[in-house]
Amino acid sequence: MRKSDFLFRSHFAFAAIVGLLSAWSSISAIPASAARAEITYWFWKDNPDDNTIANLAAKFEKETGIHVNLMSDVTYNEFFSFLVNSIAAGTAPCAAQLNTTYLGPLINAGVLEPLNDRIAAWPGRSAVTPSLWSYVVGPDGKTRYAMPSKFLMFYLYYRKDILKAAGVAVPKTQQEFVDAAKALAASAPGKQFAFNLRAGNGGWDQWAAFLVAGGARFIDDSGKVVLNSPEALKSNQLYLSTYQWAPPGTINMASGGQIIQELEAGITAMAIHHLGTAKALKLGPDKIGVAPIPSLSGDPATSTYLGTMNMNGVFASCKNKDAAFKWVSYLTEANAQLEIAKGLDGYLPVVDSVARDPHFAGDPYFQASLQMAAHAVLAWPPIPGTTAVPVAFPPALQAALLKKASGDSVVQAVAKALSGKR
Amino acid sequence: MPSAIHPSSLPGGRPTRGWPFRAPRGVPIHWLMLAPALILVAGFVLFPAVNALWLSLTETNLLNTSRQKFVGFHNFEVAFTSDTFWLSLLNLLIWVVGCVGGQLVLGMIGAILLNQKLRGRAVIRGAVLVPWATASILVSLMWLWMLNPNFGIINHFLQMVGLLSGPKDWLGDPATALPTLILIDVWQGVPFFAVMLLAALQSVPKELLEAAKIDGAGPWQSFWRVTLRYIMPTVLITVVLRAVWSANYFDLILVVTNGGPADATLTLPLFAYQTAYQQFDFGLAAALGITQAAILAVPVIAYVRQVLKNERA
Repeated sequence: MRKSDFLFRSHFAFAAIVGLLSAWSSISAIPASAARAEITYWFWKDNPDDNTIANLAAKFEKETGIHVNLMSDVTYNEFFSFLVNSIAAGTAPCAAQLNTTYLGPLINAGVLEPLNDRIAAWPGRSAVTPSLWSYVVGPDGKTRYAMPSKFLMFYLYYRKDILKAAGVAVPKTQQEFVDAAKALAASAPGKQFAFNLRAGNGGWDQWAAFLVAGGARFIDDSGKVVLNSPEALKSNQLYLSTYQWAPPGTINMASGGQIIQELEAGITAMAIHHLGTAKALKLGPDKIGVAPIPSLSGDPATSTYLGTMNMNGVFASCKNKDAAFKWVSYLTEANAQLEIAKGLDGYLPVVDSVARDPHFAGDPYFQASLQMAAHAVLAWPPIPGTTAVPVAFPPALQAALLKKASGDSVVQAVAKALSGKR
Repeated sequence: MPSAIHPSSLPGGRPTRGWPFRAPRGVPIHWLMLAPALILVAGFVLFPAVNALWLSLTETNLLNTSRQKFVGFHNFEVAFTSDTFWLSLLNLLIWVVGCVGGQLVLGMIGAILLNQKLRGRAVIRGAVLVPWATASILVSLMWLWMLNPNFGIINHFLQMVGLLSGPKDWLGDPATALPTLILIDVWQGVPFFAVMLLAALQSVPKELLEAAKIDGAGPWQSFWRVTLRYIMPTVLITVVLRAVWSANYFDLILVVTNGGPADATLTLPLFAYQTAYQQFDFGLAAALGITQAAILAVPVIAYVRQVLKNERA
């Protein structure tokens, strides 16, 4: 046999053996995967390096034998439209992480599985902070459509050193906030700015947080949109008045991370954001303090604050709803909540005992969030109009700041969006 | 249908057994041959177009497709009576004229320069393609940072040379936001024009230019009366193609300004995108898309008619 023939035949034989082995392993794998329960779970990561959910999924599979196929490739900004497309295409996951702003249209479309019966039978239900169940309830006030999970409160970050140097006290009322902004900008004109209003994408949360602390409400008990109240209009005017002391770039600012970077760089002295940013701070609590959002009365005991939650829902199209509920309820249990709260993303736990864990005792940002959460809390309402707010808000606020429209038009535009009017 | 050439009629050819295949009489073999391509075109072009037309006549929410209902021309009525629609259309016109005009002028200058004999010409020709080859999302993020009023290098440089006294928010000022975006797109699109026009310039017969020179034409007259006329077909097709692409291109605007400030940079395709994927009103979004397609069809049809007219002449 010639050398080339031998080489050819030996290579062919090797390839054939590898091919047969691969085919055998895939054939023999089929029965195993068919026996194992599998569900799909989609979520987004605020910090792409956070592997908390993947670790929890591995533990969950060891304990229950249920395999969770995770998908976290889509960022928050694109997540909802990605989810909606999958629902329309019939390829929705079994369970997914949802935001308070997503609930309304999903409930209205009937794509979420009501969970009341399953929750009633779940042993861990009493461990969840009772007030947090209101975040997952539909417009009827009774039906629960998701499991509470990652919870956040909006508060005020401020630069202790810059406020001290300018002789400005931490503002408690909204008028004090405006006065503080003016004084801070006056301390170093053109170099020191007070507060970034974030008039671009994503700015509606911090705006709403300010208005809610100022006494605004989204809907009344009958579900009617009541945002257009005198309190909301006054609070809105105060918020807009700080634009004259805002840094360049406010009008298009779409990045929460960049707002915090400006605070850390000393360009601004105050910022409204949430606990999720605290873990990314390079400056410590000795430089960056937190306080409740300045409110109408200045007294947290009589103020309402804006909260938000990333909860977990099960879709009605899921073929294994029991397994899906087992997974989402697992994420709400104390052990998982502790891991999630300790993770890189940084959220408040929805279980009281975890909130009291010694690990968080020395974290001032965590404790400030808990203190605010102990008072009255409001969230964007679970109505379809909530998803229209991101479209209505930026151009309305930008037009008002540029004096192309009145300040009141911002509140009116958001109220109109919430009402579902075009 | 013309029959295939029999190999026996070719020099040195000889008939092979069973060749060519002769279909029974009456069988439309040519349609069978075209069928795969026609199926692909029907599936990927015709079906989406017809579906979009149907969507534009309905009220469709992607989350409630079972509740889709026929509303006739209501979506078009909503669009045409909306101030935002007319603003986005005006912005689109400014965007297309600005981008294509800028790319044409600078592309022509670039092509003329690249057509000169200079050292390292091959390397330069490759390097000028970098903006064109860069993904639009990277271009957007890069310019977003360069134009950042507080940290950006452009403001820093302009302040350094005394052209700016303080930070300027180029993208936050309605007067400068759209022109700034146009400049970014011109930067990205000039290489395409340069390369297309360079190829056309290199096809201009040297004898024509020499003859013009002998007849006393100066450089500008040679260019205007000889070169430009010769390369006009390439200029026209490049302009039409680029106009259509620019009209549909909104990635840059979406990432950099999202249509702001106060809709100063909102163009029609971005408006359609927001309507579809943020308001989930697919019917209205389809109506906006159909409207834009109808507008873009005008220059395309005009170009095709001109080409056919030239061919017949």
